[in-house]
Amino acid sequence: MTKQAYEKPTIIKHTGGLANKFGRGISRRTLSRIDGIPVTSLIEEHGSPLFVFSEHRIRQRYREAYRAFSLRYPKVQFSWSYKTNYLDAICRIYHDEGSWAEVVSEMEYEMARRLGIPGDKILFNGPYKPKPALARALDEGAKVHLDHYEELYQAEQIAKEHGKKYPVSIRVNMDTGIHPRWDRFGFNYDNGEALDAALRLHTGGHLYLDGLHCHIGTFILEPDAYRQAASKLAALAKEVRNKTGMPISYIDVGGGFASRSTLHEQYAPGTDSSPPIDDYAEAVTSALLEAGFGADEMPTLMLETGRALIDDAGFMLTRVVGNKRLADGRRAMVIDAGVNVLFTSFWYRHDVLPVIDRGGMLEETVVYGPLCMNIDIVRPSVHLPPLEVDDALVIRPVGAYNVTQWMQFIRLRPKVVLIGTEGQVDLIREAETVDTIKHLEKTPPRLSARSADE
Amino acid sequence: MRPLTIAVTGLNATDNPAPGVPVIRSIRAGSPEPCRIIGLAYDPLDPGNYMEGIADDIYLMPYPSQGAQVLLERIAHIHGQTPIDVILPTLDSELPTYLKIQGDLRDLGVRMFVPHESQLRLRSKAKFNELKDNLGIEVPKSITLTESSQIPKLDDDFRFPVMVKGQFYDAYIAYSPMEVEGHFQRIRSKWGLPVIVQQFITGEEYDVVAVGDGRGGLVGAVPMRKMQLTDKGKAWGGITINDPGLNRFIEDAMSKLAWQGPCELEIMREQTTGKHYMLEINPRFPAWVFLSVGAGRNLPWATVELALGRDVAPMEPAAPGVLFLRHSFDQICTLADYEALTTAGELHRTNK
Amino acid sequence: MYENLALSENGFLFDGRTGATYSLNKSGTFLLKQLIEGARPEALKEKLIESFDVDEATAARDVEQFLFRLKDLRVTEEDEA
Repeated sequence: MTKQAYEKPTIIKHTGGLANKFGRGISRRTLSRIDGIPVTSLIEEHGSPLFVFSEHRIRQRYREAYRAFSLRYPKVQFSWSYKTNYLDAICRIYHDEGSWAEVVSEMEYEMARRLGIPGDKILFNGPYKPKPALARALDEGAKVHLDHYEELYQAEQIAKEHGKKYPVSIRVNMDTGIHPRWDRFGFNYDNGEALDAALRLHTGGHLYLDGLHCHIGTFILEPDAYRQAASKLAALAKEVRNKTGMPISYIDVGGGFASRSTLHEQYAPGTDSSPPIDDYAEAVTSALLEAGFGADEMPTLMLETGRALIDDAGFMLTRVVGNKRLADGRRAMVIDAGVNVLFTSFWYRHDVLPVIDRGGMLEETVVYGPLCMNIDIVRPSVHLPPLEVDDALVIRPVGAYNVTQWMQFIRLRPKVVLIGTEGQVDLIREAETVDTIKHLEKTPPRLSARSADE
Repeated sequence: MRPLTIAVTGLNATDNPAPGVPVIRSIRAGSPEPCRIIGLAYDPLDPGNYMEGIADDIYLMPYPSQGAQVLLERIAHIHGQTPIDVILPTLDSELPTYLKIQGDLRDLGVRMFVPHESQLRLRSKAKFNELKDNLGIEVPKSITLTESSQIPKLDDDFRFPVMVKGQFYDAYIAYSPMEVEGHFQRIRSKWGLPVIVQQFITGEEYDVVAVGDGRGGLVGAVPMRKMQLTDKGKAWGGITINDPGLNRFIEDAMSKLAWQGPCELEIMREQTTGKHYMLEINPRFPAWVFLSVGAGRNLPWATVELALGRDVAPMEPAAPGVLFLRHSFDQICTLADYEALTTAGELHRTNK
Repeated sequence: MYENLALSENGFLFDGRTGATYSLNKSGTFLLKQLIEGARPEALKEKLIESFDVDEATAARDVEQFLFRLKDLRVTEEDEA
């Protein structure tokens, strides 16, 4: 007698109104390869958890975005948002594609300079630029985006000290019809503060207005907000031109385009509900084209898109370390990647895809990370087939923010590899060791004299 | 020849019923030839699955939250077993997903007659002002609140009482800024921001089921006044009315919206001025749509015909005084039917 | 003790005592059917190995967890009497 294929015996109770979750309505999905490379072989070679980036996807998304804007508008320049992902190898890919750098601190500024990016191809944002950093940036010709009056005065002071006249830009916040309204970055448009700052800057005599910038929010699902932002910045540019006779050279609409990730509170998956990049491009460029700039005074359109470009190029490979049944009957699972390295799990409902599906009933499962912390929940609820210890899972999209916001907490941070366009797999960040953490520490001699076993 | 086959969603017929069952009853009443009805259910326990003379076949569907691709795969699977001519989605929450796959469905030979995506967006309560600003449809004055510091200033622009509404659900009346504050906090913690404050209008509220041809024409509309309410404020009984002023408002609004497909409009007639205001637009049939059949204006069947590309002549306003009263009914179901839906996700009443 | 359980071939279970319904997969259905037909819990591991392609350690672990789960759901009650 031939034996039947085995799957772990399972019984699932039909709970009121939710029985369909166990029916045929749920699709079974797996992901066994990334860019053709088997997930299991990546884990075999590099261990788990493991961050994997796809160079092919990075370049593809960048080119799609660049095409979407450059087909509609004559002068377009992207700048890679360092805070979204500042691994050197990743930044180099964007720079290779033609991106400048967008930085928000002197640390990121230095990172960009170390990669050989000249000052005049760095946009310097952020609400705090220490004076030496501001002086250096101005001196190196960086596009400095002033956030508030104190910074404006400081830039003026530096110009005086250096005996030079520097180009600067101002950051502008405004009502774009969306909520929450970000009014903390820069000068307000709607109450006239931004115009005031622009004119003040002009009359000071040490600075001149080079561009206008805004950062209206993050994960914005409404392209029309960018139409409003672009058209307000264009109106401001024209007003400044009328009052001072000086045209500006660029308008920067910042970042914030939604990736295809899914917020916890969103109903439909991001692959359905996030607008395509063309919709954002259409909104921004049509507003600029309708603004009526003279042919010789068309400002360059700057973009600082981060998340929408890199998110789905990043994957987290992880393994099951334990199966559980919670006291209330729910199925739970512990995996070896937690929220310390998947920070975006707090906001996004990432895909959690098994590498293989041996069949068996799908069941709603809580996916916990390995930290001894109650908040370490990677997915509060996802339908998964029965899985065994050591079975691999892929979590996506995790390309944005995770490798910058990750924490060294309880566990060390894992390796990061990059799959090249020819299928080569390169280590781009080594796994941390205890020394990585401890070599910065100093123990006073009075405490180091005694060892623990005394 | 196989019968005309129509798939209808929303078979949940509980105390806050979905429109699927009455839509199916309307189609059966309107179709000159017997047609085959496929019920697309989200839950094995949807009572419509078990009702005699409603659906011939029932299939469990993935929830819209699973995305368009999964939905398309499921429909393609059903279509392979039982070719579908028309799908009538009847729930708000599933419409965006159905719109995403409209083109793929058309390629399969499955048609729908539903609003455009841009029309769905107009319903957002936070953007309701745009109906007036952009289209000239009267709506109650409203403002979106994102922080409580805006509340003391309400006095300048609004006469109390006002309505305080969540962006998706919940609406409370407030007689003072203090009360607005209380509702604001409650709604914010439940539904998030923004919270909408809307001018309260004293008057008569009407419910309307209507179908637009998508080119600005009104195919038909049946206005109703609620006579009996559930504790959630839903109609449990109502009566058709015929008020030329209201009819003009409906025709005008549907034309400005160029609405395509079915909708339920909630309209308020202000007592003192006699002016009409649009309170809400729901992009689907209401659960009381069978009243339109009673009034001789079978709007679900008209929608099927429009989906099939047939011409439907605009309908004259219906006679007033057609009354409906809803009742609930305890039906006996077999465990075998429940088992079929639970384990196989399908239930077939017809012999193929 | 299993007279209230109606288990169908395709894994649909109705518990007449509690009114609850369940879905079981193939191996789960197999094991519960064995119990209903009078098999002793200790014998389940062997029966599972006889019918399914599974090693002894896995079978032992899975049977143990499955029996606990049945008890937890009150589908079976420990016969303490």
